[in-house]
Amino acid sequence: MAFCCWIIYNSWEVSDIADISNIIIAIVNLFLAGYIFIYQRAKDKNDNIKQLQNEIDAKKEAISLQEQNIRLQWFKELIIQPHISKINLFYNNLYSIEAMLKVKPISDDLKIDTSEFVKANGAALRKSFIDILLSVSPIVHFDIKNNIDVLVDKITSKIIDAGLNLNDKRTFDREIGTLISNSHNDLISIIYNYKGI
Amino acid sequence: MNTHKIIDLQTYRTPNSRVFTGRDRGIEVREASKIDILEAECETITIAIPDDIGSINPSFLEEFLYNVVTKLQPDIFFKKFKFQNNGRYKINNDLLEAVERIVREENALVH
Repeated sequence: MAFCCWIIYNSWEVSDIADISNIIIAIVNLFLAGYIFIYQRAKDKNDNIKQLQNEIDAKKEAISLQEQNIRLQWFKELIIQPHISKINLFYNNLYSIEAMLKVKPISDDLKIDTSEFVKANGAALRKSFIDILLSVSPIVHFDIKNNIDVLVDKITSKIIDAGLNLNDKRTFDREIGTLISNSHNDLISIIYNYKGI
Repeated sequence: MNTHKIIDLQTYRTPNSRVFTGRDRGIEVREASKIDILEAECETITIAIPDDIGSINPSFLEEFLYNVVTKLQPDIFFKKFKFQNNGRYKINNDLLEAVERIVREENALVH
């Protein structure tokens, strides 16, 4: 048996080995071509799905941006522009307490009356402007309401509690004028930063 | 249930202060005074305001009274709660403002 194998082995020539090699190479090539075909097809399919998803996302973003722009436009035209005068009136009225307090000494009655005036202006702004924001953006509503409340509270405390000489212009500007202008700036900042979302 | 209680704000005032302001303080006094529990236990409640108080701001009242106003609604709230207010400062405007705010925000939350 071993002798027969030895005879067959020795009967193979170089051309036979080359033929076998060619067959093996052809099989490998065929396998690779098949693999590449299947892989490429799956990749194309994935790419198409991704592209479609990107297009859908882009369209959604465009629609969302458009809605955002519409909301911002309505916010500006229906809420901010018609109420700018009320916001300015509120802050101007608060500045006007400087004149109310220009007496010496500032009586307890005057302190309470001035504090009532400040609170009444806060309430008027709430009714005419701040409440509208509740249905538009609860966050903006809260931020602006809080801004006005903190301002009214601080002014009330400065007038009634602090024992300050508010009839002195520099003291008034330092203790109350700064509070009013900071609140005004913050309010503008809140409105400016509203993105329509 | 035929009881009457008094919540004396003198107990809860900040030393040397003649004002009650701010939401946080309103929450603190609501919890300290146990107003929500008293409301459930008592038929009427009087809130006594110290005579020398200069202001009780709506921001404070809104939080202090939030639960009782939302539970009772304004009509019953004003029947059940009385304010003893003999000083120069009168609470009426601030109280109405606070109740209006509570009702408005409650309605906005519901709808």
